[in-house]
Amino acid sequence: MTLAYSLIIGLAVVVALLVMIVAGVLRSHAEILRRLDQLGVRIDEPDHEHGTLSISPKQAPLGQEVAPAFSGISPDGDPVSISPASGGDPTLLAFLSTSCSSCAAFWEYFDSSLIRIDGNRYRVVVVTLGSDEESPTRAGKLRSGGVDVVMSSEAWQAYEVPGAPYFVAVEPGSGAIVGQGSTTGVPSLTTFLSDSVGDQSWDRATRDKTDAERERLVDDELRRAGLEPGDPRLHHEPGEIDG
Amino acid sequence: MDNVGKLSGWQPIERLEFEGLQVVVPLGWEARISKRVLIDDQSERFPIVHAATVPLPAERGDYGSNVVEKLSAEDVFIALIEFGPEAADTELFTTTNEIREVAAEELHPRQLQRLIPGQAGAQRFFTYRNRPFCLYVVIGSYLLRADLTAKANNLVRGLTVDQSDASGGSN
Repeated sequence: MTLAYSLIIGLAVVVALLVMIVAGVLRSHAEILRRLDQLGVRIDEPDHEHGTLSISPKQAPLGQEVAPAFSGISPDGDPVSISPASGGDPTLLAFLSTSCSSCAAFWEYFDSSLIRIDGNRYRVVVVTLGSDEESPTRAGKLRSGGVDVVMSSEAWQAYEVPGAPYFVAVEPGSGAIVGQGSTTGVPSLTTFLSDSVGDQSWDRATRDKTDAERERLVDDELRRAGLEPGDPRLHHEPGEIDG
Repeated sequence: MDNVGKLSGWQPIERLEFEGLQVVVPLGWEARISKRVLIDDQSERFPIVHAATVPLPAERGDYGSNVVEKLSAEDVFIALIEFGPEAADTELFTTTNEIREVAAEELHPRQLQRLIPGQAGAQRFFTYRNRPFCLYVVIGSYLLRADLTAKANNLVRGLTVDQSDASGGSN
């Protein structure tokens, strides 16, 4: 009898433990799905691109979203201040981690501070989390060639980086962010940058076209009112026109 | 490194600090402070500040090689290079009581370490707070030196140096 009770209690404990383990696994799975969802990943959608998780070039009207300057340290321990708007080439900020498997291809790919993608030249700055969250030694070992690596948690916060790898393309001069998103493969990064530059050109062309169209409509309206270009009534001094 | 001010919006001005040297980095500038190895004595390393209105690559020379070639007519490069303590208060490195701003008259193409057509430079050697320095300034256009001097001084005004004791270490 005692043996049967002990067996039942033992089984109950085992079942309770299994329930707890399964609940833990489900919760962890749900958390992973939630994080992936935040990154824009839909696992129920087929992925036809090489290693792409998500690509989301972001249309930012020029001058409205400006890439902030930030400071950090190099893996050698030198303090560094970066101004993404400076210089004549667009800047690609590559937010990478030393431990994420998806980042490995990018650490290898970025082997110079200037890279050419799809005919355009980009200045590349690899940005990891600060030295209290990442290993400077590991970042130094992963750095290829002369690429700039800056360790800066401040930059991750300023750019609201959801996770690595994450990329931000910045227009030189204005500092406008012309694209940002996440991708896990070099081929899809090329597409991302090509789309960002293309969208920027499209934005400019559309804006110019809109301005020209507005000018034509105003001219038409004035002509209908009997005013041709150069009409002296278009050039008047204050007080000449009766209110 | 911390934020010491805000201009338009939320974009901060950055301040870098290392080895008793501080630099306030104005908007649109990049800066780095690193230690350089003296050729004749690999054991002694002294800090150097580089700042420019163009991107500063990880690999660059003390006097701006790999940077000055990329300056447009409107750009400026500045280096504050510390020398060994034995140079302090010598004939070349006379003592001053401040890091003086650059004057437009100081800038001349002949002052460049490496002659690049159109550019001009200034080199000034001095001892400040018992530490010997060379302040080296390169501007992208000699013709625009009046405006570029003002731009350079935006950075020079933000350079500060901690006092050094006689042995050469910074406090």
